[in-house]
Amino acid sequence: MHKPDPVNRELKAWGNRINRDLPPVDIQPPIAQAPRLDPSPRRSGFRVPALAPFGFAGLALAVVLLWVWSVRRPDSPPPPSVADTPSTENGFTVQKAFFQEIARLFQGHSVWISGDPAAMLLDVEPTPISSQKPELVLRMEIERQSEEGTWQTVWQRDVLAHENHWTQAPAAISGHETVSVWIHSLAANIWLVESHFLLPGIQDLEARKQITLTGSGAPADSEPIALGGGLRLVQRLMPLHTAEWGDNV
Amino acid sequence: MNDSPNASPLPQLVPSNGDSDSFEDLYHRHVDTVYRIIAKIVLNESTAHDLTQDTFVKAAAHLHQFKGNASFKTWLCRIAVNTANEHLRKIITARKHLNTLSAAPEPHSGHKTPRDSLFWKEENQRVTAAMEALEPPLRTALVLTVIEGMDPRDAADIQGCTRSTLYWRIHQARKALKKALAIDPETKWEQEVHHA
Repeated sequence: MHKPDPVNRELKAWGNRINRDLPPVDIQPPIAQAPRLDPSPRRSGFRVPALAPFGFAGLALAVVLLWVWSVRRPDSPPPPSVADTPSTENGFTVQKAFFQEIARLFQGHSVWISGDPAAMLLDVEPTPISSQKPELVLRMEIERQSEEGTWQTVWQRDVLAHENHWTQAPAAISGHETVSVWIHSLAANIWLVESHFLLPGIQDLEARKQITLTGSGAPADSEPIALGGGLRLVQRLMPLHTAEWGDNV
Repeated sequence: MNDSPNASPLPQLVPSNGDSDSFEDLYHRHVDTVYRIIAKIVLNESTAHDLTQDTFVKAAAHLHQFKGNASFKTWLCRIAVNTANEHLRKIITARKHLNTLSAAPEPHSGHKTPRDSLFWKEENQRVTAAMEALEPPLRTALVLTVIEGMDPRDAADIQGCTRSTLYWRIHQARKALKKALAIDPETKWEQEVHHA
């Protein structure tokens, strides 16, 4: 019989002490026919500080757009932008250089991107989580099936993310939605994408999908997730730095 | 423009007409388990109290979606874990934003919960601090398996991940805890989890 593991022993003792000292729970059972849940956060205590850095985000946006504009030379083709690319896998690939520039500029930070050609919005997580550039870009799309049977994107967000780091879209990016993402490597080129959506009308959707990349740097899609009402969620993952690819396990 | 990929809001999709005559019985049977699990994930007694209530409100509202593929306890624990982790994500985000307002941002080292005397009693401090530094999914994996003694299949189901992912999380969490608690690196967790 083997000796109990010291970590387990410490954890179990800690858990027992907590269980012993926790006061009895004192709440009323809810009625089963509860009203529709409000997807907005119930505790407002964090909302004011959470809104505080939007000034920073706006500044970051202005800096990036000015920078992108300033480095364009008259004799060079314009850099790819979110604005003038269709929402397709091909369009996503075309934007890779843009994403790489953003990753380089905001090394160590996660960056959320939304918007269309007319008004692109970036939000940079203020606290660096690593000395490295973001490793991946994840595109989340909600698509609606048209009468002709084709899928059209009705909602889209991109995030430049680091492995093993929860990142949540700020309100400036997400609007009425709450979106958070965690990505981690299961094996070389195999990634698990965990995302949590609180979307108006699609309450508390937890999506966990495995995405296998080819190693060539090309993006890959998750299996679409049916949302009902003719909508589906597609998550598309693309590596930003193919040179080190496969070394992150 | 409504057809823009950024158009919001999305249409209302989910009706909420859950129904169960025995929900109160289910509540009484599972409320302590839910409370205990949430408390050890959020590391705060009063927050755990609130989130336990949230969990049962959600469960009541979504009871019609319970398909019986898993046990009711597993389904309920999944709601509880998601509710707790969603709360922690909000704290993490808020803390990061708060850090921008201070002169010297803290390095990233997990979130900081509001201090609760129960969790920060002298004999609990070391483990609480080590647990607090873990990313929520890693901490949750430990709470479900090592502390609550759940079957890894159920724990993986609750976390919505594969068993491989669960083991990976436990491994990462234990590695971090050993370092934080300065415990000898000799480990036999795999056998213990498999035999749990």
